[in-house]
Amino acid sequence: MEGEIFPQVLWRLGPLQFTDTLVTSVALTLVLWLAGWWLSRHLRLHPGPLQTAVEAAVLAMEDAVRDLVPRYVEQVAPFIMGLWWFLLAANLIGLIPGLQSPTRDLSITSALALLVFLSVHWFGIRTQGLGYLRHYLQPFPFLLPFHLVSEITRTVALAVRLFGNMMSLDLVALIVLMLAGFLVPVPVLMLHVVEALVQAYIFGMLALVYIAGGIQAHEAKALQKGESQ
Amino acid sequence: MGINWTTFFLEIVNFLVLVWLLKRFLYRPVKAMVARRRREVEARLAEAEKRRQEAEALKRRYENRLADWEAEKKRAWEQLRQELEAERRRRLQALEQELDEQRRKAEAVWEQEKREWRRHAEEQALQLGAAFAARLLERLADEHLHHRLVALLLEDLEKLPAEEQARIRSAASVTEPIQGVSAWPLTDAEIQKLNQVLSWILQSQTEMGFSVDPDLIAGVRIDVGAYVIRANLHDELGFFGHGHG
Repeated sequence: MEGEIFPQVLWRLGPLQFTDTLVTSVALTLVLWLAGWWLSRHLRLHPGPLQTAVEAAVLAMEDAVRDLVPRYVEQVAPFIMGLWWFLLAANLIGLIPGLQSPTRDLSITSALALLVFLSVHWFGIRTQGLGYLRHYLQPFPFLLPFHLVSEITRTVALAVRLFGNMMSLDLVALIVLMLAGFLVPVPVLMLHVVEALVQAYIFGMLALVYIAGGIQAHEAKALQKGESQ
Repeated sequence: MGINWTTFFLEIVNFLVLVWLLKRFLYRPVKAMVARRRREVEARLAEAEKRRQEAEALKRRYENRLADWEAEKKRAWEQLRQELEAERRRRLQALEQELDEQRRKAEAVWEQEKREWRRHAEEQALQLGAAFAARLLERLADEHLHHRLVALLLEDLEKLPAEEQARIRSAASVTEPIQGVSAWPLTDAEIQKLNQVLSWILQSQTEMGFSVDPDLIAGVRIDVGAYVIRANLHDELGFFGHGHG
Protein backbone atom coordinates (compact mmCIF):
# COMPACT_ATOMS: atom_id res chain seq x y z
CA MET A 1 0.00 0.00 0.00
CA GLU A 2 2.79 2.37 0.88
CA GLY A 3 4.44 1.64 -2.46
CA GLU A 4 1.32 2.69 -4.32
CA ILE A 5 0.64 5.87 -2.37
CA PHE A 6 4.02 7.39 -1.65
CA PRO A 7 6.67 8.24 -4.26
CA GLN A 8 9.13 5.50 -4.98
CA VAL A 9 12.78 5.95 -5.83
CA LEU A 10 13.28 4.20 -9.12
CA TRP A 11 17.03 4.51 -9.30
CA ARG A 12 19.89 6.33 -7.67
CA LEU A 13 22.89 8.14 -9.13
CA GLY A 14 25.24 9.01 -6.33
CA PRO A 15 23.38 11.37 -4.04
CA LEU A 16 20.63 11.83 -6.63
CA GLN A 17 17.42 9.84 -6.19
CA PHE A 18 15.08 9.68 -9.15
CA THR A 19 11.49 9.05 -8.11
CA ASP A 20 8.54 7.85 -10.14
CA THR A 21 6.81 11.22 -9.66
CA LEU A 22 9.77 13.00 -11.25
CA VAL A 23 9.74 10.57 -14.15
CA THR A 24 6.01 11.07 -14.56
CA SER A 25 6.47 14.83 -14.37
CA VAL A 26 9.15 14.82 -17.04
CA ALA A 27 7.02 12.51 -19.16
CA LEU A 28 4.12 14.94 -18.82
CA THR A 29 6.40 17.74 -19.92
CA LEU A 30 7.35 15.74 -22.98
CA VAL A 31 3.72 14.87 -23.73
CA LEU A 32 2.58 18.48 -23.33
CA TRP A 33 5.46 19.66 -25.49
CA LEU A 34 4.73 17.09 -28.18
CA ALA A 35 1.01 17.88 -28.05
CA GLY A 36 1.76 21.60 -28.30
CA TRP A 37 4.24 21.03 -31.12
CA TRP A 38 1.81 18.78 -33.02
CA LEU A 39 -1.00 21.26 -32.54
CA SER A 40 1.15 24.21 -33.62
CA ARG A 41 1.95 22.29 -36.82
CA HIS A 42 -1.73 21.75 -37.52
CA LEU A 43 -3.18 25.13 -36.73
CA ARG A 44 -5.65 26.27 -39.36
CA LEU A 45 -7.55 29.47 -40.00
CA HIS A 46 -10.73 27.44 -39.95
CA PRO A 47 -10.19 25.37 -36.80
CA GLY A 48 -11.46 21.89 -36.03
CA PRO A 49 -13.00 20.92 -32.69
CA LEU A 50 -9.64 20.18 -30.98
CA GLN A 51 -8.04 23.44 -32.14
CA THR A 52 -11.18 25.33 -31.14
CA ALA A 53 -11.09 23.80 -27.64
CA VAL A 54 -7.37 24.50 -27.18
CA GLU A 55 -7.72 28.07 -28.48
CA ALA A 56 -10.69 28.63 -26.18
CA ALA A 57 -8.71 27.30 -23.20
CA VAL A 58 -5.66 29.42 -24.03
CA LEU A 59 -7.75 32.55 -24.52
CA ALA A 60 -9.72 31.88 -21.32
CA MET A 61 -6.46 31.55 -19.39
CA GLU A 62 -5.11 34.68 -20.98
CA ASP A 63 -8.30 36.57 -20.16
CA ALA A 64 -8.03 35.46 -16.54
CA VAL A 65 -4.47 36.84 -16.43
CA ARG A 66 -5.55 40.01 -18.26
CA ASP A 67 -8.25 40.65 -15.68
CA LEU A 68 -5.64 40.91 -12.92
CA VAL A 69 -2.51 42.20 -14.69
CA PRO A 70 -3.65 43.76 -17.95
CA ARG A 71 -0.30 45.42 -18.61
CA TYR A 72 1.81 42.26 -18.16
CA VAL A 73 -0.21 39.59 -19.87
CA GLU A 74 2.59 38.60 -22.24
CA GLN A 75 5.05 38.12 -19.37
CA VAL A 76 2.81 36.46 -16.78
CA ALA A 77 0.46 34.39 -18.96
CA PRO A 78 3.01 31.72 -20.04
CA PHE A 79 3.93 30.95 -16.44
CA ILE A 80 0.34 30.74 -15.20
CA MET A 81 -0.69 28.80 -18.29
CA GLY A 82 2.16 26.39 -17.72
CA LEU A 83 0.95 25.84 -14.15
CA TRP A 84 -2.61 25.18 -15.26
CA TRP A 85 -1.73 22.83 -18.10
CA PHE A 86 0.80 20.92 -16.01
CA LEU A 87 -1.35 20.63 -12.91
CA LEU A 88 -4.36 19.62 -14.96
CA ALA A 89 -2.42 16.85 -16.63
CA ALA A 90 -0.57 15.87 -13.45
CA ASN A 91 -3.74 15.70 -11.36
CA LEU A 92 -5.70 13.72 -13.97
CA ILE A 93 -2.99 11.27 -14.95
CA GLY A 94 -3.61 9.34 -11.74
CA LEU A 95 -6.89 8.15 -13.25
CA ILE A 96 -4.98 6.09 -15.75
CA PRO A 97 -4.38 2.63 -14.32
CA GLY A 98 -0.74 2.04 -13.46
CA LEU A 99 0.12 5.75 -13.31
CA GLN A 100 0.25 8.03 -10.27
CA SER A 101 -0.28 11.74 -10.00
CA PRO A 102 3.06 13.54 -9.51
CA THR A 103 1.22 16.09 -7.40
CA ARG A 104 0.83 13.53 -4.62
CA ASP A 105 4.55 14.13 -4.06
CA LEU A 106 5.29 17.02 -1.71
CA SER A 107 8.63 17.53 -3.47
CA ILE A 108 6.80 18.32 -6.71
CA THR A 109 4.22 20.64 -5.16
CA SER A 110 6.93 22.31 -3.07
CA ALA A 111 8.99 22.93 -6.18
CA LEU A 112 6.00 24.49 -7.88
CA ALA A 113 5.18 26.56 -4.81
CA LEU A 114 8.78 27.75 -4.63
CA LEU A 115 8.58 28.74 -8.30
CA VAL A 116 5.44 30.71 -7.53
CA PHE A 117 7.16 32.37 -4.61
CA LEU A 118 10.16 33.28 -6.74
CA SER A 119 8.00 34.39 -9.68
CA VAL A 120 6.14 36.82 -7.42
CA HIS A 121 9.36 38.57 -6.60
CA TRP A 122 10.74 38.16 -10.09
CA PHE A 123 7.79 39.94 -11.66
CA GLY A 124 7.68 42.44 -8.81
CA ILE A 125 11.31 43.42 -9.24
CA ARG A 126 11.01 43.27 -13.01
CA THR A 127 8.13 45.73 -13.03
CA GLN A 128 9.19 48.02 -10.18
CA GLY A 129 12.88 47.43 -9.78
CA LEU A 130 14.42 46.77 -6.39
CA GLY A 131 12.04 49.33 -4.95
CA TYR A 132 9.56 46.50 -4.98
CA LEU A 133 11.20 45.13 -1.84
CA ARG A 134 10.15 48.24 0.03
CA HIS A 135 6.68 46.88 0.41
CA TYR A 136 8.06 44.51 3.10
CA LEU A 137 8.73 47.61 5.18
CA GLN A 138 5.28 49.09 4.67
CA PRO A 139 3.28 50.39 6.27
CA PHE A 140 5.80 50.02 9.12
CA PRO A 141 9.30 48.52 9.05
CA PHE A 142 8.63 46.44 12.12
CA LEU A 143 6.09 44.48 10.12
CA LEU A 144 8.91 42.94 8.05
CA PRO A 145 8.92 39.65 10.03
CA PHE A 146 5.19 39.28 9.60
CA HIS A 147 5.54 39.87 5.86
CA LEU A 148 8.25 37.22 5.70
CA VAL A 149 6.19 34.74 7.71
CA SER A 150 3.23 35.49 5.47
CA GLU A 151 5.27 34.81 2.36
CA ILE A 152 6.62 31.55 3.72
CA THR A 153 3.32 30.29 5.08
CA ARG A 154 1.35 31.01 1.95
CA THR A 155 3.99 29.28 -0.11
CA VAL A 156 3.97 26.29 2.20
CA ALA A 157 0.19 26.33 2.20
CA LEU A 158 0.20 26.35 -1.57
CA ALA A 159 2.43 23.29 -1.67
CA VAL A 160 0.74 21.38 1.12
CA ARG A 161 -2.80 22.13 -0.08
CA LEU A 162 -2.22 20.60 -3.45
CA PHE A 163 -0.18 17.74 -2.05
CA GLY A 164 -2.71 17.00 0.69
CA ASN A 165 -5.70 17.03 -1.56
CA MET A 166 -4.20 14.86 -4.24
CA MET A 167 -2.66 12.46 -1.74
CA SER A 168 -5.90 12.17 0.21
CA LEU A 169 -7.87 11.48 -2.97
CA ASP A 170 -5.51 8.72 -3.97
CA LEU A 171 -5.56 7.36 -0.46
CA VAL A 172 -9.33 7.36 -0.19
CA ALA A 173 -9.68 5.72 -3.60
CA LEU A 174 -7.21 3.03 -2.59
CA ILE A 175 -8.87 2.39 0.75
CA VAL A 176 -12.32 2.17 -0.82
CA LEU A 177 -10.93 -0.14 -3.47
CA MET A 178 -9.41 -2.39 -0.86
CA LEU A 179 -12.52 -2.43 1.31
CA ALA A 180 -15.35 -2.49 -1.25
CA GLY A 181 -13.82 -4.05 -4.27
CA PHE A 182 -13.90 -3.42 -7.99
CA LEU A 183 -16.08 -0.61 -9.46
CA VAL A 184 -17.13 0.73 -6.08
CA PRO A 185 -14.47 3.50 -6.09
CA VAL A 186 -15.86 4.84 -9.39
CA PRO A 187 -17.78 7.67 -7.67
CA VAL A 188 -14.61 8.51 -5.79
CA LEU A 189 -12.74 8.60 -9.07
CA MET A 190 -15.41 10.94 -10.47
CA LEU A 191 -14.78 13.12 -7.46
CA HIS A 192 -11.11 12.82 -8.28
CA VAL A 193 -11.74 14.41 -11.68
CA VAL A 194 -13.56 17.35 -10.14
CA GLU A 195 -11.00 17.73 -7.42
CA ALA A 196 -8.15 17.57 -9.92
CA LEU A 197 -9.68 20.38 -11.96
CA VAL A 198 -10.47 22.45 -8.88
CA GLN A 199 -7.02 22.03 -7.37
CA ALA A 200 -5.30 22.92 -10.63
CA TYR A 201 -7.50 25.98 -10.95
CA ILE A 202 -6.93 27.02 -7.32
CA PHE A 203 -3.16 26.59 -7.50
CA GLY A 204 -2.87 28.56 -10.74
CA MET A 205 -5.31 31.20 -9.60
CA LEU A 206 -3.53 31.69 -6.26
CA ALA A 207 -0.23 31.97 -8.10
CA LEU A 208 -1.77 34.57 -10.36
CA VAL A 209 -3.20 36.49 -7.42
CA TYR A 210 0.15 36.43 -5.63
CA ILE A 211 1.98 37.65 -8.73
CA ALA A 212 -0.67 40.31 -9.30
CA GLY A 213 -0.28 41.36 -5.68
CA GLY A 214 3.44 41.70 -6.26
CA ILE A 215 3.00 44.10 -9.12
CA GLN A 216 -0.18 45.64 -7.81
CA ALA A 217 1.48 48.80 -6.49
CA HIS A 218 3.08 49.46 -9.85
CA GLU A 219 -0.20 48.78 -11.66
CA ALA A 220 -2.05 51.12 -9.32
CA LYS A 221 0.47 53.88 -9.97
CA ALA A 222 0.24 53.31 -13.72
CA LEU A 223 -3.55 53.36 -13.62
CA GLN A 224 -3.57 56.55 -11.52
CA LYS A 225 -1.16 58.11 -14.00
CA GLY A 226 -3.37 57.06 -16.92
CA GLU A 227 -6.49 58.44 -15.27
CA SER A 228 -4.79 61.75 -14.44
CA GLN A 229 -3.82 62.13 -18.09
CA MET B 1 6.70 11.73 2.90
CA GLY B 2 9.61 14.12 3.16
CA ILE B 3 11.17 16.33 0.53
CA ASN B 4 13.28 14.59 -2.07
CA TRP B 5 15.69 17.31 -3.06
CA THR B 6 16.60 15.69 -6.32
CA THR B 7 12.96 15.63 -7.30
CA PHE B 8 12.51 19.13 -5.93
CA PHE B 9 15.26 20.77 -7.97
CA LEU B 10 14.77 18.70 -11.09
CA GLU B 11 11.07 19.50 -10.95
CA ILE B 12 11.93 23.20 -10.87
CA VAL B 13 14.06 22.73 -13.95
CA ASN B 14 11.46 20.51 -15.54
CA PHE B 15 8.70 23.03 -14.98
CA LEU B 16 10.74 25.95 -16.24
CA VAL B 17 11.51 23.93 -19.36
CA LEU B 18 7.81 23.15 -19.69
CA VAL B 19 6.91 26.81 -19.39
CA TRP B 20 9.42 27.66 -22.11
CA LEU B 21 8.22 24.84 -24.34
CA LEU B 22 4.56 25.73 -23.94
CA LYS B 23 5.31 29.36 -24.56
CA ARG B 24 7.31 28.43 -27.65
CA PHE B 25 5.10 25.67 -29.07
CA LEU B 26 1.61 26.42 -27.81
CA TYR B 27 1.03 29.88 -26.49
CA ARG B 28 2.75 31.85 -29.24
CA PRO B 29 1.45 29.78 -32.20
CA VAL B 30 -2.10 29.79 -30.85
CA LYS B 31 -1.92 33.51 -30.15
CA ALA B 32 -0.46 34.13 -33.58
CA MET B 33 -3.19 32.05 -35.19
CA VAL B 34 -5.90 33.82 -33.22
CA ALA B 35 -4.40 37.19 -34.12
CA ARG B 36 -4.16 36.12 -37.74
CA ARG B 37 -7.76 34.96 -37.70
CA ARG B 38 -8.80 38.20 -36.05
CA ARG B 39 -6.94 40.15 -38.71
CA GLU B 40 -8.56 37.97 -41.31
CA VAL B 41 -12.00 38.56 -39.82
CA GLU B 42 -11.30 42.27 -39.47
CA ALA B 43 -10.04 42.36 -43.04
CA ARG B 44 -13.17 40.54 -44.18
CA LEU B 45 -15.31 42.84 -42.12
CA ALA B 46 -13.48 45.81 -43.58
CA GLU B 47 -13.88 44.31 -47.03
CA ALA B 48 -17.54 43.63 -46.33
CA GLU B 49 -17.96 47.18 -45.06
CA LYS B 50 -16.14 48.49 -48.11
CA ARG B 51 -18.33 46.39 -50.38
CA ARG B 52 -21.39 47.51 -48.46
CA GLN B 53 -20.37 51.13 -48.93
CA GLU B 54 -19.63 50.45 -52.58
CA ALA B 55 -22.99 48.76 -52.89
CA GLU B 56 -24.62 51.73 -51.18
CA ALA B 57 -22.83 54.10 -53.53
CA LEU B 58 -23.79 51.92 -56.45
CA LYS B 59 -27.35 51.80 -55.21
CA ARG B 60 -27.44 55.59 -54.84
CA ARG B 61 -25.89 55.95 -58.29
CA TYR B 62 -28.45 53.62 -59.81
CA GLU B 63 -31.24 55.37 -57.95
CA ASN B 64 -30.02 58.69 -59.31
CA ARG B 65 -29.72 57.14 -62.72
CA LEU B 66 -33.20 55.71 -62.41
CA ALA B 67 -34.47 59.12 -61.40
CA ASP B 68 -32.66 60.63 -64.38
CA TRP B 69 -34.13 57.96 -66.60
CA GLU B 70 -37.55 58.63 -65.16
CA ALA B 71 -37.20 62.35 -65.82
CA GLU B 72 -35.79 61.62 -69.27
CA LYS B 73 -38.70 59.27 -69.91
CA LYS B 74 -41.17 61.91 -68.81
CA ARG B 75 -39.50 64.47 -71.04
CA ALA B 76 -39.49 62.02 -73.92
CA TRP B 77 -43.13 61.16 -73.27
CA GLU B 78 -44.01 64.85 -73.14
CA GLN B 79 -42.05 65.51 -76.31
CA LEU B 80 -43.66 62.52 -78.00
CA ARG B 81 -47.08 63.64 -76.83
CA GLN B 82 -46.45 67.13 -78.20
CA GLU B 83 -45.15 65.71 -81.48
CA LEU B 84 -48.15 63.38 -81.70
CA GLU B 85 -50.47 66.29 -80.94
CA ALA B 86 -48.75 68.43 -83.57
CA GLU B 87 -48.85 65.53 -86.04
CA ARG B 88 -52.50 64.91 -85.21
CA ARG B 89 -53.31 68.60 -85.73
CA ARG B 90 -51.28 68.66 -88.94
CA ARG B 91 -52.97 65.53 -90.27
CA LEU B 92 -56.37 66.78 -89.16
CA GLN B 93 -55.72 70.06 -90.91
CA ALA B 94 -54.53 68.21 -94.02
CA LEU B 95 -57.57 65.98 -93.81
CA GLU B 96 -59.84 68.97 -93.47
CA GLN B 97 -58.13 70.60 -96.44
CA GLU B 98 -58.44 67.39 -98.39
CA LEU B 99 -62.07 67.09 -97.38
CA ASP B 100 -62.65 70.70 -98.42
CA GLU B 101 -60.92 69.97 -101.69
CA GLN B 102 -62.96 66.80 -102.14
CA ARG B 103 -66.08 68.71 -101.20
CA ARG B 104 -65.26 71.44 -103.70
CA LYS B 105 -64.49 68.84 -106.32
CA ALA B 106 -67.71 66.99 -105.49
CA GLU B 107 -69.60 70.27 -105.65
CA ALA B 108 -67.92 71.10 -108.96
CA VAL B 109 -68.70 67.62 -110.28
CA TRP B 110 -72.20 67.97 -108.97
CA GLU B 111 -72.52 71.38 -110.61
CA GLN B 112 -71.05 69.97 -113.81
CA GLU B 113 -73.38 66.98 -113.68
CA LYS B 114 -76.24 69.32 -112.93
CA ARG B 115 -75.31 71.54 -115.85
CA GLU B 116 -74.85 68.51 -118.04
CA TRP B 117 -78.15 67.12 -116.89
CA ARG B 118 -79.78 70.48 -117.46
CA ARG B 119 -78.14 70.77 -120.85
CA HIS B 120 -79.19 67.22 -121.65
CA ALA B 121 -82.69 67.97 -120.44
CA GLU B 122 -82.74 71.14 -122.48
CA GLU B 123 -81.42 69.27 -125.46
CA GLN B 124 -84.02 66.59 -125.00
CA ALA B 125 -86.64 69.26 -124.55
CA LEU B 126 -85.41 70.98 -127.70
CA GLN B 127 -85.32 67.73 -129.56
CA LEU B 128 -88.78 66.92 -128.27
CA GLY B 129 -89.86 70.40 -129.19
CA ALA B 130 -88.19 70.10 -132.58
CA ALA B 131 -89.77 66.73 -133.14
CA PHE B 132 -93.09 68.11 -132.04
CA ALA B 133 -92.60 71.19 -134.22
CA ALA B 134 -91.41 69.01 -137.12
CA ARG B 135 -94.45 66.78 -136.85
CA LEU B 136 -96.63 69.85 -136.54
CA LEU B 137 -94.91 71.66 -139.41
CA GLU B 138 -94.94 68.56 -141.55
CA ARG B 139 -98.67 68.59 -141.21
CA LEU B 140 -98.92 72.37 -141.61
CA ALA B 141 -96.26 72.81 -144.34
CA ASP B 142 -97.52 73.25 -147.89
CA GLU B 143 -96.36 74.69 -151.15
CA HIS B 144 -97.44 78.16 -150.19
CA LEU B 145 -95.17 78.07 -147.16
CA HIS B 146 -92.45 76.76 -149.39
CA HIS B 147 -92.73 79.65 -151.77
CA ARG B 148 -92.99 82.04 -148.90
CA LEU B 149 -89.67 80.70 -147.54
CA VAL B 150 -88.07 81.08 -150.97
CA ALA B 151 -89.34 84.66 -151.08
CA LEU B 152 -87.87 85.33 -147.66
CA LEU B 153 -84.54 83.84 -148.82
CA LEU B 154 -84.48 86.11 -151.78
CA GLU B 155 -85.21 89.12 -149.58
CA ASP B 156 -82.45 88.13 -147.20
CA LEU B 157 -79.92 87.52 -149.96
CA GLU B 158 -80.62 90.90 -151.45
CA LYS B 159 -80.02 92.48 -148.03
CA LEU B 160 -76.93 90.37 -147.25
CA PRO B 161 -74.06 92.45 -145.87
CA ALA B 162 -70.98 92.89 -147.97
CA GLU B 163 -68.80 90.84 -145.64
CA GLU B 164 -71.16 87.89 -145.91
CA GLN B 165 -71.27 88.28 -149.64
CA ALA B 166 -67.44 88.22 -149.72
CA ARG B 167 -67.43 85.09 -147.60
CA ILE B 168 -69.82 83.40 -150.01
CA ARG B 169 -67.67 84.41 -152.94
CA SER B 170 -64.54 83.08 -151.31
CA ALA B 171 -66.27 79.76 -150.52
CA ALA B 172 -67.59 79.36 -154.01
CA SER B 173 -65.70 76.89 -156.18
CA VAL B 174 -64.96 77.74 -159.75
CA THR B 175 -65.07 74.16 -160.91
CA GLU B 176 -67.88 72.89 -158.78
CA PRO B 177 -71.38 74.04 -159.86
CA ILE B 178 -73.85 75.56 -157.39
CA GLN B 179 -76.35 72.92 -156.37
CA GLY B 180 -79.74 73.55 -154.79
CA VAL B 181 -82.24 71.24 -153.11
CA SER B 182 -85.89 72.18 -152.81
CA ALA B 183 -88.75 70.63 -150.83
CA TRP B 184 -91.20 71.51 -153.55
CA PRO B 185 -90.51 72.15 -157.18
CA LEU B 186 -89.47 75.79 -157.76
CA THR B 187 -91.19 78.00 -160.20
CA ASP B 188 -89.22 79.34 -163.16
CA ALA B 189 -89.55 82.81 -161.76
CA GLU B 190 -88.10 81.70 -158.47
CA ILE B 191 -85.22 79.93 -160.22
CA GLN B 192 -84.50 82.93 -162.33
CA LYS B 193 -84.67 85.26 -159.42
CA LEU B 194 -82.29 83.02 -157.34
CA ASN B 195 -79.81 82.88 -160.25
CA GLN B 196 -79.90 86.64 -160.54
CA VAL B 197 -79.33 87.18 -156.85
CA LEU B 198 -76.49 84.64 -156.65
CA SER B 199 -74.92 86.03 -159.79
CA TRP B 200 -75.11 89.46 -158.17
CA ILE B 201 -73.52 88.10 -154.98
CA LEU B 202 -70.87 86.03 -156.76
CA GLN B 203 -70.40 88.78 -159.28
CA SER B 204 -70.51 86.25 -162.06
CA GLN B 205 -73.12 84.61 -164.21
CA THR B 206 -74.44 81.61 -162.34
CA GLU B 207 -76.72 78.76 -163.32
CA MET B 208 -77.87 76.54 -160.45
CA GLY B 209 -79.12 72.99 -160.69
CA PHE B 210 -82.05 72.10 -158.43
CA SER B 211 -83.32 68.84 -157.16
CA VAL B 212 -86.37 68.05 -155.00
CA ASP B 213 -86.07 66.58 -151.51
CA PRO B 214 -89.35 66.38 -149.55
CA ASP B 215 -87.37 65.87 -146.35
CA LEU B 216 -86.73 69.57 -146.32
CA ILE B 217 -90.49 69.93 -145.57
CA ALA B 218 -90.51 73.43 -147.05
CA GLY B 219 -87.87 75.78 -148.46
CA VAL B 220 -84.50 75.27 -150.15
CA ARG B 221 -80.85 74.54 -149.40
CA ILE B 222 -78.16 75.89 -151.70
CA ASP B 223 -74.56 74.62 -151.59
CA VAL B 224 -72.12 77.29 -152.78
CA GLY B 225 -68.86 75.41 -152.46
CA ALA B 226 -68.20 75.10 -148.76
CA TYR B 227 -70.92 77.65 -147.97
CA VAL B 228 -74.44 76.31 -147.40
CA ILE B 229 -77.42 78.66 -147.66
CA ARG B 230 -80.28 77.18 -145.67
CA ALA B 231 -83.83 78.33 -145.91
CA ASN B 232 -85.89 75.24 -145.18
CA LEU B 233 -87.83 73.88 -142.23
CA HIS B 234 -85.84 70.72 -141.96
CA ASP B 235 -82.56 72.49 -141.30
CA GLU B 236 -84.19 75.13 -139.11
CA LEU B 237 -85.81 72.44 -136.96
CA GLY B 238 -82.49 70.66 -136.87
CA PHE B 239 -80.77 73.81 -135.64
CA PHE B 240 -83.56 74.27 -133.11
CA GLY B 241 -83.27 70.69 -131.95
CA HIS B 242 -79.52 71.14 -131.34
CA GLY B 243 -79.95 74.35 -129.45
CA HIS B 244 -78.85 76.65 -132.24
CA GLY B 245 -82.22 78.00 -133.08
